[in-house]
Amino acid sequence: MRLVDVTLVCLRRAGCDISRKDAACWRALLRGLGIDRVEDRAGRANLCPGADAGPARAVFLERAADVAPEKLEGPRGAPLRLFGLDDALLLEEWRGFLARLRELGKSRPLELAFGNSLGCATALGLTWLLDGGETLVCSFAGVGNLAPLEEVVMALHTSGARRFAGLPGLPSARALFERMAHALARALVPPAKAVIGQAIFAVESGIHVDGLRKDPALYEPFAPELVGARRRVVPGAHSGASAIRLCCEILGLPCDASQASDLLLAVRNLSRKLERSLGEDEFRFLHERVCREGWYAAVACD
Amino acid sequence: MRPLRVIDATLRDGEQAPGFAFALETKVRLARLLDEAGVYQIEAGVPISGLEERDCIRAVKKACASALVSTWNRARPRDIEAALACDADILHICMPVSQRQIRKKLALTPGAALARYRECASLAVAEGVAVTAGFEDASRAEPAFMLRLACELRELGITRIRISDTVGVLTPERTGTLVRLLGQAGMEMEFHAHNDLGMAEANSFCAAVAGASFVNTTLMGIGERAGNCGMLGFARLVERSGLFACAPDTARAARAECRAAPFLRRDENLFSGWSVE
Repeated sequence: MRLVDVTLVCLRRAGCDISRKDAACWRALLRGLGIDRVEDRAGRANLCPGADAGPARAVFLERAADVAPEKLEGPRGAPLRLFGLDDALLLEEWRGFLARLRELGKSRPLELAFGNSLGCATALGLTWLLDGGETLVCSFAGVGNLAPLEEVVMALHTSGARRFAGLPGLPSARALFERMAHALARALVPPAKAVIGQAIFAVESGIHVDGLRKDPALYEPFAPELVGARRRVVPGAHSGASAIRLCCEILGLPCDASQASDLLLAVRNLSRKLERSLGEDEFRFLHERVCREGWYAAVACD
Repeated sequence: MRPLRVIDATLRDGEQAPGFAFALETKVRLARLLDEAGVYQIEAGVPISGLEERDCIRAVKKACASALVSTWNRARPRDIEAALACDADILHICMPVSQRQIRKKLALTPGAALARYRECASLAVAEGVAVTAGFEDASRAEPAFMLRLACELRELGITRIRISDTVGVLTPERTGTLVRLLGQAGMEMEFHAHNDLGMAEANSFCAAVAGASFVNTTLMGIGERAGNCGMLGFARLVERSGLFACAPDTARAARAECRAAPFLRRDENLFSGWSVE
């Protein structure tokens, strides 16, 4: 299986001005991650969605059954890149459909670039590769409406189908991506974005913090270290006593069991009142009042 | 078209994600939006959390004209008692089913876990309330254990099980296989997805195709880590497929998410100081 990254192409097409240095850095980062090919400039062979969209649509509409290779556009023998197929998962025999595409790939190298308008590109791309498809075209964070590269990579890694040694480099890739994408309206990767979001390893609820202390893998699909991230325990309305003690440990604040119980009440009430979790200063303030002055109910309830 | 019902977990799994803490008035407002959108069931909260949470659940129940209201509970007798005090329509009991969850989180043997699940299910069923069972971490559990548990629960009078991909590691193929396997127990099936690998919506759709008649969503996909199955994305898939009769449709889901958006913002900057070594 081969993964092709077209992030640079998609960003340039969207109007981002990317320096040579950044482009070189991107290529190096993604090669380090284990990506097979990183494409840069549009206009190279088979990199025109307009030219390929026709055959892709034809293949889709006819359910790949009767499209002879010679009907497809482009130079004979050159790899054919199919864009779109966003709704292939909705076909009754969608895996059969992918199998027919693989058959098509025997007579002419085929590269799949699933569209993500229905949020199924990762599922389709992963299945394509796991079932024996040769090449998948992706982009970082799914820019350009393609399968998000990081999701496909992590799904392959966790399934054991292919290991990627450079996963801890993902935060660097995210930072560079955000810099290169600054011209886009949505340049920043959402904090809850799968695999690369900065908030995906934050926990608040008592049940999850308790699980974290017993065995982090209880509520984590993969360890944060694997993707260069860190766990965070945030105090808030759903905290439990063990989370409060952990927060005190993080800040180096003393707290015995009875104080933790009072502090928990104060944290929950203030968080519910503010309708959000608490920041470090707010937590220190409550700790000061509750643990040093023995005062909490008035803060929490007035 | 086969009926497919949406169970929204915004007020429970969604709110449980760090950064969210809905006040009672906000919960009621969101519940009304969900009710108007046409969801079948609203998972309103965790009764054992405290008196305030129980007040919220009662207020949500009062605010809903047609949606059923359910509570989420651990398999512990005191959790069940707290849930019974909320007068919700459905009492959901979460039952971890993977070896990892049973041995490390509950510190039980599989046999002792089964006994506890039976005890709690019997306690709730005896009160005459509708009970559903949630197979937590089903994606990492042994099929034989789940099938055995499902059959025992069916004997107790429970008719629906929730298959939870707790850490979001299922693929569409494995989702279909799991749903078809548990379908052998002859119970109604519900699917609960997480989006850790970006496949929550695709997996939920594949679960429905494989036989699940209930699917869990949250508004804008909020939830632990990378979130849950987003209501609008899922509605769009279902509508486009033409396979199911399902509410809410795309238009109503879009309206609900649009109106709920101001309440679903969070400030992740507050998370920055809380790194665990």
